[in-house]
Amino acid sequence: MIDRTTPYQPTAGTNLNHADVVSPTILIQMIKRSKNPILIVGCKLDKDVEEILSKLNMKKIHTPKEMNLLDIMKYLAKGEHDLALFIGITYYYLAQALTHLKHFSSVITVTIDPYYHPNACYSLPNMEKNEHVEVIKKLVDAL
Amino acid sequence: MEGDIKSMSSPLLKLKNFKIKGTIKFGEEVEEEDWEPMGPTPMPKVPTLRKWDFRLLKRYPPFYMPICDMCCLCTFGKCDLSRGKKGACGLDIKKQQARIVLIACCIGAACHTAHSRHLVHYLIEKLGKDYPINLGNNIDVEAPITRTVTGIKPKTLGDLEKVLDYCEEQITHLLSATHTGQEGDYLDFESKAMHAGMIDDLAREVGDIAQIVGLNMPKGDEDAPLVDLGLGTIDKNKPVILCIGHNVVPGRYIIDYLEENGLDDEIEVCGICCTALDITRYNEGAKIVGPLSRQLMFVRSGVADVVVVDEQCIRTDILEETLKTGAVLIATNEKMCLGLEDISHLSEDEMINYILRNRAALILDEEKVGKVAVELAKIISKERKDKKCLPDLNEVVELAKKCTECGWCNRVCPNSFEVKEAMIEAKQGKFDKFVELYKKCYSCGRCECECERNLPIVSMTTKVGEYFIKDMKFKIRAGRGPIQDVEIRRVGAPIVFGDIPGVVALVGCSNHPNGEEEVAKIAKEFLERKYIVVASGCAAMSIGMWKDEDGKTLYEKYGGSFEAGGLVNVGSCLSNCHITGAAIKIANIFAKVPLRGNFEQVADYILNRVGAVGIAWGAMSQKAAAIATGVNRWGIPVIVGPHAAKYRRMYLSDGKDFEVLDKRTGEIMKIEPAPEHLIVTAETVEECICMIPKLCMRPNDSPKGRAMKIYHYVSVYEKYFGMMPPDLEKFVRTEQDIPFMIKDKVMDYLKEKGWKPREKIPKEPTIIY
Ligand code: SF4
Ligand code: SF4
Ligand code: SF4
Repeated sequence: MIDRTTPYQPTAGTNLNHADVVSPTILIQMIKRSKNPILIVGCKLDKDVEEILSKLNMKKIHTPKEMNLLDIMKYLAKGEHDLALFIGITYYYLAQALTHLKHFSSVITVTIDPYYHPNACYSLPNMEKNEHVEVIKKLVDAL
Repeated sequence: MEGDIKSMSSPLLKLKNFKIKGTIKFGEEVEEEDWEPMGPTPMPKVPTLRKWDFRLLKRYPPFYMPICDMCCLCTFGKCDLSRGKKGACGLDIKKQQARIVLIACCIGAACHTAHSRHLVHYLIEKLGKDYPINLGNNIDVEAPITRTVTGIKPKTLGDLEKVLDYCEEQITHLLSATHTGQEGDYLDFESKAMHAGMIDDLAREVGDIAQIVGLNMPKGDEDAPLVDLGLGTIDKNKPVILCIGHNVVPGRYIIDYLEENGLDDEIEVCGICCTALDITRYNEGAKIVGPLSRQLMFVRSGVADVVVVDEQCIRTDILEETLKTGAVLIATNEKMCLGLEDISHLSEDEMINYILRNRAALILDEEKVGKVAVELAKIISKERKDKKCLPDLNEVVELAKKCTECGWCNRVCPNSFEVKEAMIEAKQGKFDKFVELYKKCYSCGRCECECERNLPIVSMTTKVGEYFIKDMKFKIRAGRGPIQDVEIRRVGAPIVFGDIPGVVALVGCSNHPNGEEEVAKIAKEFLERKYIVVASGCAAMSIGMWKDEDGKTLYEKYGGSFEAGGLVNVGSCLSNCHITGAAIKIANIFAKVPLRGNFEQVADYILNRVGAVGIAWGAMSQKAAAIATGVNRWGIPVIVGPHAAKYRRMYLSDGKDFEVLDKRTGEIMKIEPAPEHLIVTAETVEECICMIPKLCMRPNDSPKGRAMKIYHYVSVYEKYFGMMPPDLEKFVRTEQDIPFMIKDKVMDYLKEKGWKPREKIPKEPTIIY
């Protein structure tokens, strides 16, 4: 059993203000309540998850193909979207890039990788692959 | 007239390791001749170029990614700077990030300045202050950075001292600005960081010029010799001396001693990191093991009998690791004494005896290191003949069986490499995953530190690599140093008008996300596309560590000239100065922009006209931070790998239209955002490759040149992402910019995006107004 809330790469933590762990149910509610959610999809996504996610009806940007991640962060910081979800981006790279939004914007950031991400506002905990697939399925079904 | 005090000092003084620095001067210093009218900003002080920096920073505002919510630099702290809070001194999170960047740049600049100071000091001691700086008939503009920044045209080694005096003064001011309660504006911190970066550039030029002339390294030689690279090139049956670091001086004496005693064929001298590159510039018989990333692996392999360390980028546990293998270690630089006894005052034979007894020592007299290292290597190699340092393959299996599969190795690996999976497979006696790991792993050892079973993961990986990968012999062209003036004359116009689509400079350390091979992949892509590819430092080695299907490295396939399709290894990290130098020389030799004390105009020329981009795919050190920031101040954009996000700060434009003044018409106008960013990360090598043609675009491109750049931009995007670049419309100014070969496709795309041609294009764009 892997521990749930130590940052997946432990050194990605920032000492203060770590992400709250979010359950699939709450996550679904958050998305439903959001006025203008967006999903940032990275290129390191697990194939099974990618397929399930392709059915998700939400605005998406694929990085790096469609946009550089830092350009995305800059765009998100402007506040057009009240909720930004992230998945499939190199762990340490996202951990670092997220701190821009953490400090310089009021966007609610949520990571939906199977790894705990301390620098988001909310994160899924560390989990095994099959558990993660179930969570994503649940998400897609509910939305 | 000048005299060297050292030659007058008594043997007694020397015996006590008592050194007198400096020289005696008689008479007045001669005024420097007027080689060019002095420009507006010779020897700029900290605020002198602030206006220029602010222009850049307005277009490319700092983008911060605070690595930590807090500041812990003084005892008021720790202070929580998150969510708009301020520290006890009034500092906010932006200022803190900018301050850390400045500190990093100061560390980098200090490192290069100290390195260069040591080289210049040493060479003056040996050759005298009046030793001429002569880079041969093909290089008149010998020191473009020095000329532009300081207004000095250095003629002798002595002149270089003045430049270093200036660098040291600036670094002191800059570093002091980071003290609690000093600078209080993030843009000013950034301007200071740029100043530190520029000082770093300058210091590197001083050091490299000094060693080129003083140690007779190649002087812009396009056909510099091909030298051996890779673990497989080292003959393990001979005594082996391994030099690690960046300073060539101790290595030089080892080579000299071997030659003087006819021992060249009997003893292997090899190196890791920039010392290796510089030793091969001194003598082509030396061998390069590889970049920084292979340091621990190679030491663990136990091939070296004597390890000689100098300065910078050396593992700080090198002593412990060396001793474990039964080898001995010699530290040779005051910056890395490793707690060792200073035995510089002893005779060489006494030193050898001391080290045989104590296994390591500090020797600050490099001249003696030659004999001591060689003679020790002979003795130690016999002593260690049958010493086994790595586990056997079956021992690797037994060790793997102890693995509990906890997975922490994967989690602490900076790249999350699959160590656990390699262990699980090895339990069955299979090694495919370990071989894969070997190819990518940079032997940082973090996995080992975490392993609950204390498994020697790096040693296991090294063994598997050594056993299964037989072909570890490569070639690299020795660092050639500067670009010749005649080469600049040839490529100046095609670069400025865009007919040569760009200059791609692959530089920096080995903090690669996926091993060394990606750097070679980038080089190959752009060599085939007839860009000029320039390399230095660990990146230059990484390029050499890849072979095509004919078993050839890129250095064997492509010539070393600064021309379209040329692969130019300038040398070590110090030699990076020649890359900036080439851009400056284009402004000067091709476009006749005066250099002397004329920083802003030169940088403005480069920013608007010279399509060069730096790639530091594995940027790791504070030196790399300083180099990148310095290069940025000259108007050259840089792409860094994903780990470089941890530098905390990038310079990103918002991708909207830029504003310039057209000097020809006096009109201020909007132009396309080129180059789009000054420093930006890419997540993957594919993204990096796709960004390169874009960041090579300049406002001054001729329609033909822009069309060429757009052709490559579209072509790499389609190749790696299977689509048109999503922002292409920004960079097509008029229909003339559309490459003929793909016109229909591009027009369709532009139509979809609602593109309209620009009415005006500046003839002479500048941001100085
Ligand atoms: S330097 Fe300022 S922000 Fe940092 S710990 Fe001290 S008071 Fe706090
Ligand atoms: S030694 Fe290699 S596998 Fe281990 S943590 Fe470092 S890079 Fe990862
Ligand atoms: S940390 Fe050690 S015990 Fe744990 S999985 Fe890795 S090798 Fe095995």
